Order: sequence, then C-alpha cells, then structure tokens
Amino acid sequence: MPIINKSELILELTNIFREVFDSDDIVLSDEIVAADVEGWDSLGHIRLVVAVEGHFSIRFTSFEINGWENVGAFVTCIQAKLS
Amino acid sequence: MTACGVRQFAVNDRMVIKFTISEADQRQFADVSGDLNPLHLNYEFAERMGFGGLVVYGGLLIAKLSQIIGLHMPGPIGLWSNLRIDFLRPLLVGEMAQLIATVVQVSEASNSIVIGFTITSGAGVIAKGRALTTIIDQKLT
Repeated sequence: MPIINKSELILELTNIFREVFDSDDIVLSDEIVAADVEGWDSLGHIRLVVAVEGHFSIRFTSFEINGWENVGAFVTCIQAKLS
Repeated sequence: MTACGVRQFAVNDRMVIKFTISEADQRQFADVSGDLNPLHLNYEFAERMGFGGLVVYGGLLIAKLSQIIGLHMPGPIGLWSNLRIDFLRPLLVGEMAQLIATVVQVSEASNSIVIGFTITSGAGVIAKGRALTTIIDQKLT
C-alpha cells in the first residue's frame, strides 16, 4: 500500500465505513465519534477494525483499537502504520 | 482445532467437509424457514424450470458453513458477525458437494478471523464468500 495523504486516507476510510455500516450517508471528519455513526457499537467496531486491517494490510494492537477517541485519532494511527 | 484463542489460527489454515443434501433435509428446512418454494420441494416443477432435480436451499449451504464456524473456526466461543456469499450455480438434491473453508485474515487486535469459503460440486463452484467470526472473551456492549 503506497503512502497516501490524509485526504485520500479519509476518502478510502469513508468508503470502508459506508460498506461496514451500510450507509452511503456517512461523511467522516476528525471529530466524528462512535455515537455519531449508527451501528458503531462493539461488534461494529470489530467489523470496522478487521475491514481496515484487511484493506490497508496493516495490523492494530488491542490497546490501539480501544484507545481511539474519534476518527481523527483513528486516522492518525493508520497514517503512522502506512508511513 | 478447538477454540482457545485467535492465535491458534493462521492464514491458510483450512478445513474441508463433504456433504450431500437429501429430500428429508429439504423438507426440514422448509418447515423451519417457511420457504415452500416448489423449486426446492417439487421435482416436476424443478424440471419444468429447467433444473435436473430439486435445487438445494441456499440456507442449507450456509448451514454447512455454520457447522465449521460453530465447531472449529473458531468453535463454541465464537460469534459469527458477518457473511458475504455469492450463489453461482445451483446444487441439486443428492449431489455430492465439498465445502472448503480457509482462514484468510487473522486480527489479533479484535480477536477475529476472516474465513473465505468455496462450495463446489462436480458441476463447478456452487457458492463462495467470506465470513467474520470473533472469539468472545468478554461481555459485549
């Protein structure tokens, strides 16, 4: 996976969110939190993590996946793994 | 394989089961599901529709995958949370079929495995897809 900039990353992440949570209305920004996305509960989070790991060929730790306070932190974590 | 943690699984771990669906299986599924489509139950109707026999319920194919997930990948403490499946051609009652399930992704962080599966018969690929299962070691909220 080549290094991509933040806007490209958010675009790809948006597509993953839309597929995982089955909603074409999702628009991501740094401030979005789980409560803002219908279906982003604990099981939804697992589906999201697995989808993101598979898409970007990266691996998170259990500490990481339990620590993101919002989409911005999620994106920062992904960027760090892709760089 | 027994269920004791996602780390026991690795990409390319594989399990194969062979099976044949009987008319009795079809009738039981019809009773449970309420799907009384004659394509699955009435031989003459199925023939008129151009099939060489009763068409196996797609739900019964998924049931065979459930056997692998529930007993082996990852087993009794697993929670099946996602399924994608394409039905590519019909399987007929009485035809021998084979289900191959392969671990295609292991996510230690989420304690989950992604299983890719293919169901084949002598006619070729019947169905294929992916399933996500998670080993539950704590109460979900």
